[in-house]
Amino acid sequence: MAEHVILFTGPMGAGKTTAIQSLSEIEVVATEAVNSDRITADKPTTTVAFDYGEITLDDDDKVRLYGAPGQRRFDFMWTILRERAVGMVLLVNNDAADPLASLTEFLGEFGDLHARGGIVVGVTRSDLAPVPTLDDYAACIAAARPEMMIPVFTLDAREPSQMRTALMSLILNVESTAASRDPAFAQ
Amino acid sequence: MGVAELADAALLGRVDAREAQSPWDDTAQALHAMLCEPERTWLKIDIDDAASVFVDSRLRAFERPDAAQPLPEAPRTVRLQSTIVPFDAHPPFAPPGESLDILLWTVGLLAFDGRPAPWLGAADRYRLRRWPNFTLLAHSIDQMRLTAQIGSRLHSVDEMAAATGVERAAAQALINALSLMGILHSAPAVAGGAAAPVASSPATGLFARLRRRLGL
Amino acid sequence: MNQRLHRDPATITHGSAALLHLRDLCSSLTYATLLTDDGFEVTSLGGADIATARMASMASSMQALGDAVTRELRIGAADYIIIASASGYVIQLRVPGQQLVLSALFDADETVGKALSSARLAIAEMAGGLGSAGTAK
Repeated sequence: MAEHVILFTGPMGAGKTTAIQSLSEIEVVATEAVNSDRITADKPTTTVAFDYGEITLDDDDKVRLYGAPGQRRFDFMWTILRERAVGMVLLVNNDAADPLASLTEFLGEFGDLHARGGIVVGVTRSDLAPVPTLDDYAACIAAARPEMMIPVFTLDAREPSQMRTALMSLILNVESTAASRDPAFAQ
Repeated sequence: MGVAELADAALLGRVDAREAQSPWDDTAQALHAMLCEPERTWLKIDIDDAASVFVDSRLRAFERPDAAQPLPEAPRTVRLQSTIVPFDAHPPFAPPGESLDILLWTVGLLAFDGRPAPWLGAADRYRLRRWPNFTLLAHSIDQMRLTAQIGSRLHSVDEMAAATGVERAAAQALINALSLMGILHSAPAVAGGAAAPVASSPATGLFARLRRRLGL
Repeated sequence: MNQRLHRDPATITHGSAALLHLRDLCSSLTYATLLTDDGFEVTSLGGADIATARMASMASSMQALGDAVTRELRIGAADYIIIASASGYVIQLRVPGQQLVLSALFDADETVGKALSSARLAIAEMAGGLGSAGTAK
């Protein structure tokens, strides 16, 4: 069975688990533990291994959705999951202390996925915090990684239609990357 | 200064009010001109059989009381009133309003009937400065596919249409809208022609299959 | 409840004592760590060349994955996890009534049975000590 692995990353509390729940056709396999770090994110639980969901295309094909833990102490999971992924949705919560710093940090960790697949950035909670703006995110990406043109969307991770928009744009970018390397791909 | 005062004649600065010759064409040009101006401008757009739209260039926002209804595609008339106001003037609607990108996207798609917007060259090539915020904008999958074509490469409208199989007029409308939103780089046509565009996602590829699976 | 268990003095004290007793019971113990459910190191014993904070995070992931498997299979909560290799094996168990996990490395000379029973005594001691201290419940 072919598999297409999409990785969801971003700081703690950005909405990765929720985003996968919005997309997955199966009940999401979660690895939550009681959160003892309520200062960083005021939520009762946190992901400590990965979240797993999927979309079945047919008998032979699935899109597998993996959510990585957001805290750096779990970066060994980032290494494991990154190797399998063809694309990544990077979620950043706009009401965090420094969302642009988080964006830069995670692009630094997972930037290789842009070269071999695609990255989409989703800005959550922009209704609670209107700045930074999407232009600010685009400028930050251009400054940190000028070779990258990455879609940046405002996202409500609870909304399936918005998550589908993000996923479809990611897949488009993944296929564009593949086609630019091998034009025969698009035939 | 409130909305009612904007409708009156006694305003600071210049006021224009005239019948639009081609309803959305002139609206698009007025919006483009407004966004090119350094001064803060208010624009009131009166549409037949629809509520008026109020635009504030400094807030980069608009208000439309009947926002639940789509803008009419072919209104009989559209009347425009633009006013230059002091930078710290009280806005004509309660902030934050709606993102102006929504209005620019919609008007940009409706205007010019498949022709290039007047501020664009007919043979220009384009590349994105940033992606449009598709989660906020009513869009089609084809518009997303067209947008992806100019994510990292310069393409002309003809090249975009050829790579995606989408009608040229639709590709031009998208370029008009993205340009009005201010998120395009443009460059003159390349003498002697450009490299062949990279074809869009294949019919059997993941995008097409996921699109069918999700019913998009 | 004090949610910063890994900074709680009583938890650290009882945990450290329990790890020392575990080593007394089982000389094959190479390394042990007490961690919070979400991967913070409370206290460790041995493992001079081990990144103990990182191991705590990894143990947390393993525990959560074990729980996910037993949940998926509907076979009840995970009792313990064993990772075996040629040079030794790791046993992981939850501390009853606490949001804590014990992860212990024994060398290959030890029998699994003895290592497991020793580890169970250690977590019972921790549970008893923390419960009577009135903290971390």
